[in-house]
Amino acid sequence: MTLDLQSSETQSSDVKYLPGADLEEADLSGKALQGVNLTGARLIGADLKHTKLTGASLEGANLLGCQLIKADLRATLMGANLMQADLTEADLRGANLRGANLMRSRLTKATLAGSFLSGANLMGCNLQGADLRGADLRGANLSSANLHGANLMQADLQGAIVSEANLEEANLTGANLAGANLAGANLLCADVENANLSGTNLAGACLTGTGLDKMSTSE
Amino acid sequence: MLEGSILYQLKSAHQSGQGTQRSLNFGVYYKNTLVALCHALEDCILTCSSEPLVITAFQRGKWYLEEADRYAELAERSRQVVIMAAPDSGFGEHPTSQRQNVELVSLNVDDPVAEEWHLMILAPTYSAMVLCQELSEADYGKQGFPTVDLERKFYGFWTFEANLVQETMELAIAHLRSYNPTLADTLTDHIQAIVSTPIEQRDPLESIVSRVVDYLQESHTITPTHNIFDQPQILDSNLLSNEVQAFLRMAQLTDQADVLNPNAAAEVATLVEAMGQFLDLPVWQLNRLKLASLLHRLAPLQSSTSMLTPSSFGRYPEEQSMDAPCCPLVPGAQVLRTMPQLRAIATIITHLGEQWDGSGQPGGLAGDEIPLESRILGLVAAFQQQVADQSAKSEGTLSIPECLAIALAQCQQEQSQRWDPKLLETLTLLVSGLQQGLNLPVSLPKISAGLWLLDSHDEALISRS
Repeated sequence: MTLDLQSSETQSSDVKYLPGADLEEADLSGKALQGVNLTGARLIGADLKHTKLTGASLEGANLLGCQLIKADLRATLMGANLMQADLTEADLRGANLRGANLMRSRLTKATLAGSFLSGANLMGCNLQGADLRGADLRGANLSSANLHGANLMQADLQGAIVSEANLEEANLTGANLAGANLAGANLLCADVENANLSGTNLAGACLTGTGLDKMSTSE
Repeated sequence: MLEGSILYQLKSAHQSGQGTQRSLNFGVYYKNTLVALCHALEDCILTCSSEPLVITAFQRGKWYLEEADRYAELAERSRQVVIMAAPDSGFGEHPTSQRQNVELVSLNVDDPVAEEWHLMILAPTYSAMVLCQELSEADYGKQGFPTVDLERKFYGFWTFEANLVQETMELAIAHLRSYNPTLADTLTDHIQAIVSTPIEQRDPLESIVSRVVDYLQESHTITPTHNIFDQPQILDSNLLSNEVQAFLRMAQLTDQADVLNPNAAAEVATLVEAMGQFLDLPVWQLNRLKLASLLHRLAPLQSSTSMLTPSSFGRYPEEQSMDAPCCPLVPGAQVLRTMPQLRAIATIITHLGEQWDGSGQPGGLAGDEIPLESRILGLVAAFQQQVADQSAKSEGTLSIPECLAIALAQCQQEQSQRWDPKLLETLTLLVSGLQQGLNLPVSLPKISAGLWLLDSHDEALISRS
């Protein structure tokens, strides 16, 4: 039997195991593909808008430039390539994105609460208004990312690289920024109440309106 | 932040741990936004039912001169107007400056207040304030100072809170005492007279908020037409953010006035999010629920009466007025509909009084006819209020788990009559978790974050299942 993934009839019950599948530029928008195994699959430029991928395995998958707007990605994406993907308003709650490459991806208003992003590459990402409450961002690279208005309450950014990032009006209440590099970052009116700033590099950062304006900061 | 500025002094007085003062949360404002916001708040003086004291800081005399004609009208309706600015030519000669109840304070150029933008309005029936400071060149960083004047950036906050306006006015008066001690004494007397004036009713805040939203919305239309801005999307977001803020600040006042349940909105928002997660609701619906929770106690909605009788089951009685209703069911919800992006929220809040058996208000909807979000929010808001009531009644003799149990039992008594039994089961699960130590941290929301809770779904997607 040939399985047509792009057929309107195809749902997750039909597709369970597709490791290494070549789905470049496939139109899978709106599909219910919960629990599907797409480990190492090639999904470059695929249309996955509104697709439900809850519980799916996309470990090591190549999702370069994918359209994932409002997709349900509460899935395993460890080591996946999501460079330049559009994840606007995507649901990534609790997703495993350890070591994933999200460089220059669009994550505006995406929900990443409780997600695992340690060691992920988020350089130049657009994370405006994203929900990153309690996210594990230890050692992640967020340099030059746009985190304007992002919610990073209780997030763990220990050792993360956040240099030159835009954190204007971000909520960093209770966040762990120990050892993080925020050199040159814009923290204008960011909320840093109860944040752990031990060993944080804030050299050249804009701290206006944070309450840290008059505090000495470690280099 | 410039030491010695009014913003700095107020922030210092509200630092965490400074007595009982709550800490202040600052936001970023473009000049474009501030102009619209201040014009709206100022124009409310023209319809204010009592005479306000107005204290302003314009940075430079030239900015005041741009507004001086408008200020003549405002002075006509005010007890006293004070203009603080570093003087420019013509500053004192304008006819408005010559009015008996207008006082100019020529700030020294090195006075930090000359870098600030203030509008403080205090009347027995109306209060509002914008308190901002301009970014320094260094704060702009790499992008540098903007080339378009309306793109200049400020930081600070605005509010309708009378006690905060009074506190800030007192700081301003102390500051200008070194320039004009006689004026400082006069202003102190004005404040005393205002706060001791007995009032029956404050001016309706919903019309003030509607005006703020209208003026901010008008500024959106300027952007594409004139195409003068380098970053129109950022400016538009800033305007939109402040439209949402206007409603959130109005809701904030309801909470502050409720001494027995002052964190209701934040606690309800936390609980509905947890409920929504138990029900596996999509993120857009969770965000919508959170925003509805933060707004559900808006004052005009508290006093709204339905246009329907309980037995009319969603239909308008034909024999009544031929006038079209201003809102489908609850006139008070109309204020939210000023913003198209809040129409879904208005619908959710409108149906909070519905009951599962169809005996509720305003539409007499029953069962799954009631929007799911209204069912969840209605139940959680009632539960949270019961918890607060129990806690207050017991004066600390009951533990939190005991208060939760009593509140839940009271909701359970109304199962299938008032509340959706399925949702009550979910609430029971949540309460059980809380009693066993589930920690749901409640934090007062960052008011500028309301913008990010707006979704792109339209009202038709209100869930009824």
